[in-house]
Amino acid sequence: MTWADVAEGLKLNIHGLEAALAIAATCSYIGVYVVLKRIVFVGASLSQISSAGVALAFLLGASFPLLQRQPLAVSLAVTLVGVFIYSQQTLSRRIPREAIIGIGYLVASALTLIFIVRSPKGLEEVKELLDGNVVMVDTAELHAMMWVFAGVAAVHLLFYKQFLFVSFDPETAATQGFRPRAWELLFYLVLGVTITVAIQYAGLLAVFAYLVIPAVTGLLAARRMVGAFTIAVASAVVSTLVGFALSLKWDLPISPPIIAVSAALLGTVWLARHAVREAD
Amino acid sequence: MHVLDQAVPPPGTLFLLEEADLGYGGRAVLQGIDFAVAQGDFLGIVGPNGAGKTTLLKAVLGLLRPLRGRVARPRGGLRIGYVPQQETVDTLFPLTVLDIVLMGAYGQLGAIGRPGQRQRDDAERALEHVGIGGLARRRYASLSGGQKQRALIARALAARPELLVLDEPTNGMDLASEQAIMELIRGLHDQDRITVLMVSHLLNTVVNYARRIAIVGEGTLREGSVEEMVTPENLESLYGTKVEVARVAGRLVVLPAGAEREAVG
Repeated sequence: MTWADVAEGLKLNIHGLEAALAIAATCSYIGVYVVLKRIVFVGASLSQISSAGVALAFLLGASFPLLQRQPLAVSLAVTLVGVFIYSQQTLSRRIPREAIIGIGYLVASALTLIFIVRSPKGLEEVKELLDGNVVMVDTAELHAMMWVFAGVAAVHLLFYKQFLFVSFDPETAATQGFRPRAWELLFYLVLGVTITVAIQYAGLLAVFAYLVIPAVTGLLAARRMVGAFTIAVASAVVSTLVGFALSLKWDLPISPPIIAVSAALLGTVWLARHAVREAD
Repeated sequence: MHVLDQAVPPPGTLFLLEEADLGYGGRAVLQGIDFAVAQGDFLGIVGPNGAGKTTLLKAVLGLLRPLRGRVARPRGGLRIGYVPQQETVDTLFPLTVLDIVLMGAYGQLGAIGRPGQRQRDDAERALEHVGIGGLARRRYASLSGGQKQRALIARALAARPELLVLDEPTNGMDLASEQAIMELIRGLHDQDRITVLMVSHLLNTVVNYARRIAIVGEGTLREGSVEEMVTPENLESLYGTKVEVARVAGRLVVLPAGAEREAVG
């Protein structure tokens, strides 16, 4: 495929590209908090739980076709259970939180496999879950996604100071009248909704990558929060554009080239930062 | 169990606990305590590790509801400037010193308000006041221990506090930084008339700066002037070891009893 064909392919898949860019921007913005709050594995685990919800919808779809056409509802319901559990700061004094997150991840992975094996679509579904099906997004789905992500952005912009303060120093925030538990729950709810919607189209790999790699790039390169958000979103958008084009050029699934480009950008920033430090 | 909350304390009292049990999950760490912070106090809370200093601190901060007893704060609430232990503040966040000090004003901004020029000016004044006016644009993570502590004190001052609460403010600091921070706190109390409540396990530091001492131990609390509280009898029963209290060059010094002393230099 020539680059002219790639450009033509991007035009043909413009809805898919727009959806991927919206997912990239939203997940990478929230990813800055995910990395700073040291809850990367919550992101991974919620992504897996959301995937289990999609797989469950496909399995139940054999008996209830409506569920197969609308896996979002099942996935969202299952993810919100995970959100509620993970947003609790102390579930047990005897079990570390990391262990609970790990157990959630393992159980969700096992259930995903069981649901897939038992569902009529089988292996085709595994590929869809991992890699998504963003090029198949239609106009109505794209608009619905944009509304959801606009809501996510509005919540984050309006309540920036609350999310920042309770993430950075929850005890001091509480002394000023903020309720860290309530804001944590809202943060996790927004994260859960974002992951659930994003995974329907972008797949497990890309969503988890968007939550982590661009955020680390932003945090490495920036000196302030606004810079970290900007660089994270910019690097996710660039990775998506380049990765999308490369997947068309070399006829690859979409997620792997996006992740590879994102990791390359991170490596470049890391080397540049290292070089600057050496020069100082 | 009976808790009378949000009662109004007597005039001149900022915070009051009466016959209060404090603890977690229904289990009391401190039982039947009476505790008051009067306007203008400089109160030091001391006690062995695990005695309940942090539990008491959380009750003052409003983060822990007594299991039993009466708690009273001024009508309209008590504006607290809290300085947490420095190690609990996350240095991974890309925040400048000014960003952090501005957080002190967040509580006054309403649900969706953002800090404006007035809050920025207040924050910069607070930084000047604690002696690090030139560091506003520096990354918090790049500061020394003493500078970080000054930044956190500036954040607490930006909340325009009636009560300044400090948790182990000189933990892990060298002698010079410790003294500088304690002099700063003394200045805030003496010159700016801010009521100070400070928790520390560094007995020799607290007794030379606080005006009153609250001793926490054996599930209870005793409060009085430094002279009343810092006696060998009180400290021996608290720490379970023999101690001597001496005055050296005008400063109170608590020493293990029988320790050999030798003049140096």
